Amino acid sequence: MREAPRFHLAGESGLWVELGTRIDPALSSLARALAARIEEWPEVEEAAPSYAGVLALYNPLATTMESLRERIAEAWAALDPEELPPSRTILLPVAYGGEYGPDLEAVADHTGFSAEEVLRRHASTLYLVHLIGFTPGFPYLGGLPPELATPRLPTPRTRVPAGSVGIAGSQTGVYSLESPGGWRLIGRTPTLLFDPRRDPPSLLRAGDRLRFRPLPSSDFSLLAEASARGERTWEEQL
Amino acid sequence: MILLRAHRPGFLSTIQDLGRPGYLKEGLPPSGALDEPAFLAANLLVGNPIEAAALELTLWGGEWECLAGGWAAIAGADMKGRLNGEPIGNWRSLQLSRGDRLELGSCRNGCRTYFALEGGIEGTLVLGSRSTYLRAGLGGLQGRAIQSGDLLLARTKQERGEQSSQLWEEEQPGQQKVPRALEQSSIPNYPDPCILRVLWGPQEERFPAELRAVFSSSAYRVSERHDRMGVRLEGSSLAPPKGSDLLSQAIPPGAVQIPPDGQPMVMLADRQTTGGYAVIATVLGADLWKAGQMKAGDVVRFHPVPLEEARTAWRDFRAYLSQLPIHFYSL
Repeated sequence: MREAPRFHLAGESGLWVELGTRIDPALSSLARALAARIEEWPEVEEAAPSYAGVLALYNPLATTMESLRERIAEAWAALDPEELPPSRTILLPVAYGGEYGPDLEAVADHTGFSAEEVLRRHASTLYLVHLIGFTPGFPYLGGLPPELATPRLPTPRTRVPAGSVGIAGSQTGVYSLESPGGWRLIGRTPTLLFDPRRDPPSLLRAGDRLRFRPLPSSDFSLLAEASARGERTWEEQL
Repeated sequence: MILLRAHRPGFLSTIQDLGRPGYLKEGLPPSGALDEPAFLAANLLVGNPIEAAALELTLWGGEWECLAGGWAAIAGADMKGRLNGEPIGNWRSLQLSRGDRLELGSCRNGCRTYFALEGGIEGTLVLGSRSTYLRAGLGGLQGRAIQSGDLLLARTKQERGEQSSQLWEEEQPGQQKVPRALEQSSIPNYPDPCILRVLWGPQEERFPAELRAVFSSSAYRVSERHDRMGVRLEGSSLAPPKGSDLLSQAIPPGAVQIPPDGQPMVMLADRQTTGGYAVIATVLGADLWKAGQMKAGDVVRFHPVPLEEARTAWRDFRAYLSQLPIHFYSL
């Protein structure tokens, strides 16, 4: 028997459906399935899943909060784990170290591994995309090997190039847009994580698995140009 | 066809429409005009469908030169518009002729004004909207703010040589156009202090009764840090005793986030889509446009209301918007 969700108002057009309070891959897949179900309803404009809940934005002229709450509770109780949306495994090319990963040596120093060993451990892990957010296409990833954890830079960089792969404490992630940032940069992908010419524009989706594939630095520019042209520069593992 | 050149583009001018909702799970905020009543009034005064894009001017409006004439309308914060040096008023449409110069100054009340051109301002259509989202550099004019020398073009459907489409309504041939304005009684005001009605939640449980009392009884001042993403306020701290961190989750429009420093931040249309700070309350959809008109130094108070009142406010607000054209009169 699944625990009943807790409902919280998020304005007159929003309902925050709290399914739990911990990071738990099983729970985030259920949140994804619930969001997909809710979003099919005509009175719901959008349903965004996250670690342990769903934000439903609805039309308050088409339903009431009370009836939506009831409908969601019923859908949650009847949710069949078998009907989870399929999970993909994406292989993302990454040029590690050098100009693309200026902090790889610092991470090696901090962790006590050689740069090659940091690269090997980072690239041999299968990560889970918990959710997309913060900036367009940015994946919150779970699964960084604990021994690679490294604190953020004492002073953030004013400009981190899009595609930069970084470590911040026990997290790893990929900057989807150029922005300021304090993560330790160990590599960079030439693949656009967010491309408004695509629909959906984000390459990754919550629930996807992600693996980084080391790329020779000499191939970076070629792939970056291809990605900018809208060509596919990533692979899907079946 | 109407063609304008930005002689001086103002403080921050971007092309906006009703935005692109539906992409929160992609990390993409909806963007769109921050003051929907003023945006719609400008569009409707010039006879555009509500989906047409207009220019959103911020704090001061700059100077615009007309290269090819046509109908325009202006609505929102009063920027003391002048056409060739003559005051033109606000919340009205007007005909621009080749060679005209439209000057828009700074505003005392509010901070955003909408400038609509007949047919809608052309801009890059991204995922169903022409709204500019500066952070990702998409929509509008090359995804950026208007710069000096930029050209803005608007064409009616006929001029674009299009047949009927979903976006553009049929224009009525032979319709004689006259300048129009919105009745004084239907013009929203941008009061300072501004009262924002809110609903408690989603995370009001994080805040003990004393802090909730502080929230609903204190005056907050808008800091220098306000933009299309959000408005940072300064005043009595609301830092929750057990910390404000939570698992990152989607941020609803109008969320009043409380970061660890206890200073509230109202999240607007270009907000980051997820966040990990507790949200004490959410601004009513019917009042969110007021937050889009707040600027540094303005005073804000929060007024929590029950859900039933918020529903009524939303219904009344949508009715007010749909009835705007009834309150136009010919000048």
